[in-house]
Amino acid sequence: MEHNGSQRVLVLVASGPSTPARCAAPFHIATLLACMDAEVTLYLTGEGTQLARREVAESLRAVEGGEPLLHFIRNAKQAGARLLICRQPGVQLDPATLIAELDEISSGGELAQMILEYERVLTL
Amino acid sequence: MNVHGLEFPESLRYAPEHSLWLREEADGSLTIGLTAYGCALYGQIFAFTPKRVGARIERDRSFGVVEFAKAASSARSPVSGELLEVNEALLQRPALINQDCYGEGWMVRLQPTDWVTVRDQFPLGEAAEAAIAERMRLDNFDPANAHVQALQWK
Repeated sequence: MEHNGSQRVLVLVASGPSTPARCAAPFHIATLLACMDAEVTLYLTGEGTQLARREVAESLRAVEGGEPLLHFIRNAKQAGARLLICRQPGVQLDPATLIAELDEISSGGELAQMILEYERVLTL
Repeated sequence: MNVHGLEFPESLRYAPEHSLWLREEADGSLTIGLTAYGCALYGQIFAFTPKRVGARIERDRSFGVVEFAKAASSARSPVSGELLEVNEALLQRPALINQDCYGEGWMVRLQPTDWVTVRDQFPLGEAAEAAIAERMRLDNFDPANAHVQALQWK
């Protein structure tokens, strides 16, 4: 990803369906950061990879009666954040089951590279 | 001036693409705020977080973040300049933007870098009417509901 001089922030999303209350915050923070002209990359890893499954994103809610997670993902994307998912060894990801908002399936090596290069790394 | 049920004071300059108004101050700075149309689009504003005083803002870059009911949006500056002052009152009472967008709900004061050059790009009062109406048309703003949306900020 070309760096245009803005601060680059990597948000590692490790929370998943077992802790729904934690799942919207990474995307909302990413939205706010992007609105402040930061270059934001959201990286779904561990249990967070489950959030890229369409059935999860469309149904999981951080707050009862609130918007589904997909709403927050779309807000972050609209604000300019990039959304990556970790390619897990031995786990086949079926693109047909994933949300269209995903930009890339990425490797652990690429994650390591970003951690070294980015100005800020958050784990949520 | 009234455009599709929303008020736009004659004494202000407008940046219709940003849904912002600009007021030229005696010291050469600009006070900037959200127009009634911007308020109608956002609905109830929950927070406005400006960048720090002293920040250099390039044209079309963010001078702050507006959080509203279901999302957040950049407040993008129509001019380049230095942030001189932010409306501290909004930190505690962001609803002031909805309640008095042309008065107590002002957002920031900016020292523009090239105001003389760009000044004419921001029409004054009635001269902005066509551009504001065009912006509303491009946004598919529904004039029939303008009064309903306007009520949210009155």
